[in-house]
Amino acid sequence: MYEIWLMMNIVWEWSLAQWPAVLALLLLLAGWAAAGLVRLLGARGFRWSGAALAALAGGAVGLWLWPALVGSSVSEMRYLVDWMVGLGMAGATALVGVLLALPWLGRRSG
Amino acid sequence: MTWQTPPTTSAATAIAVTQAPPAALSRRQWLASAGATTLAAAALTSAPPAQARTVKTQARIVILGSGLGGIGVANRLSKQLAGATITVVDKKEEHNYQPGYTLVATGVWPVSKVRNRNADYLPHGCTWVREAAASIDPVAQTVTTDAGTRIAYDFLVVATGLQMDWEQIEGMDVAAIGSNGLASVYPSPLAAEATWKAMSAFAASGGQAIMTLPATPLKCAGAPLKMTFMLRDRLRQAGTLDRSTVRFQSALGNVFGVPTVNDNVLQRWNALGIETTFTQKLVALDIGARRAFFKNPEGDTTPMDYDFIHVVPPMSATAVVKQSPLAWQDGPMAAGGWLEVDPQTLQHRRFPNVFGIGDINGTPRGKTAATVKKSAPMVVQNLMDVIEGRTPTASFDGYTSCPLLIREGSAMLIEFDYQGRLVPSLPLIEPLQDSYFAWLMKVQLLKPAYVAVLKGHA
Repeated sequence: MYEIWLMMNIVWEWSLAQWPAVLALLLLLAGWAAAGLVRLLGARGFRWSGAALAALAGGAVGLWLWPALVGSSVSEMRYLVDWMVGLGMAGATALVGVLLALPWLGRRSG
Repeated sequence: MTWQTPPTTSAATAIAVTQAPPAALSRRQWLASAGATTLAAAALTSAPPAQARTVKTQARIVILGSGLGGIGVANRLSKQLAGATITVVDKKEEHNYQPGYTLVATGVWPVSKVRNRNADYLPHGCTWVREAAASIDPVAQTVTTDAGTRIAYDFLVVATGLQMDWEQIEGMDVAAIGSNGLASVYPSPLAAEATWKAMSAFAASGGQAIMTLPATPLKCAGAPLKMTFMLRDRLRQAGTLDRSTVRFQSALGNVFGVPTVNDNVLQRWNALGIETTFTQKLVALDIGARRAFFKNPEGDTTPMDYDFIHVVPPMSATAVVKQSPLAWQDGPMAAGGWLEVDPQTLQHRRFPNVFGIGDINGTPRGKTAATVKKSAPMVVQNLMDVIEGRTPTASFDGYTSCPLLIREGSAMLIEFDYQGRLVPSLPLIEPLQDSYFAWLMKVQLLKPAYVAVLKGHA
């Protein structure tokens, strides 16, 4: 319980320390997602294969990007916990990838 | 215990004693109040369930020191005590994130990341006496400052930190750190920055490096090891490792107090070609000639030339504690003048209205921010127990943590208790495994955790 509480505090304080970037990114993503959803409303279906491709690309970038941003690398992932954290962050980046691809994921023709 | 101690003060008090300022709206406060009233914010601005207890009291509580322990306890007390007078005594205006010094000194962080203002973290309604505590009279229950201000207390929290005894190294000049290959991560943020300057210059050319370790208790006892690992890595990155030697000169019979960690580090150093010599105490330096002098237990002194030296000073209790009746009177902690607290309750063993937190405590281990993180809630709980006339109920196990930097990008997340047992606080963590996650914790996550503790949230 305490560790969850501490992790919430860490996320909060980390966000406060970088708030201009975090706020700008969240607003940008929210705006982009809203525009993408509006575009999807007029579509005749959802391109799951495109979404999977975007997720894969986002995940691959995330797996490489997050360690690199802190001066580390995938080669420093030496055991289970490293891979759980690395893949978790890559998963979050995969979601962002899908979000960014949203406007192009609508199926226009049958 | 008297509750009527006269609050005698000097004329200086009127000028120096001020309420903690409602500092101009900072970015953080603006965000918290204007744009970020999210669920997380709502959760974080309220106390967690474990901290819900509140006590009404008129007690005067004086906290000596404005480091993590002092401010962390002040913030918790201000939330949990209704009606108490809380006074923090410290001259220091700047708040330093000391766990980040090794990152600054090894070129990972800019120095700005470890420099903040105490005024941004002290609780509203708390009185901040911007003077240094000069003496403590635990019988009269007063603290006197260097400006002559006399402050009466009902309860005292000692969080003064420790002092570095540079004068025990003949010829040492802290102002010279950064030049002539002289380095030390310990004294200040600027010294850490200067240390990186010396380290990067040395890494570019290579040569003989000496890393030292004194025989006294240390704050962040892992720092000398981190500096050694990172120096070796910087030499590797610069391509000068093959024409360099790194030698670790320990004044003790080991390099770290926890045997399993000590053995692991020595094995790693052996594999990395870092030489280790034991029972060699640094006693003098000739900075201009780049020569260090080490004394062994037999009293023989050996000179050693170097191109780079990392100096770790002997450390002891701050003078105000050392010279007070609060210091250990006998036993292994007496020589350093450390605060005589019970290791479990952190309550003073002879003056029950006095508690200690952080580096000043004369306990078997634990002079790190992680120790404060774990012990601050317990000190507050035990202090509240005593205020209510009860026996302290919270028991501290001596938890401390040391994210040991192994090389750029990798660290070990070592956590242990008074007995030196490894006690990982997260499941699946392998303390002796070099790891990206431990590096990520050190570089990105521990400062936010520190700030949360400082604010009394975690």
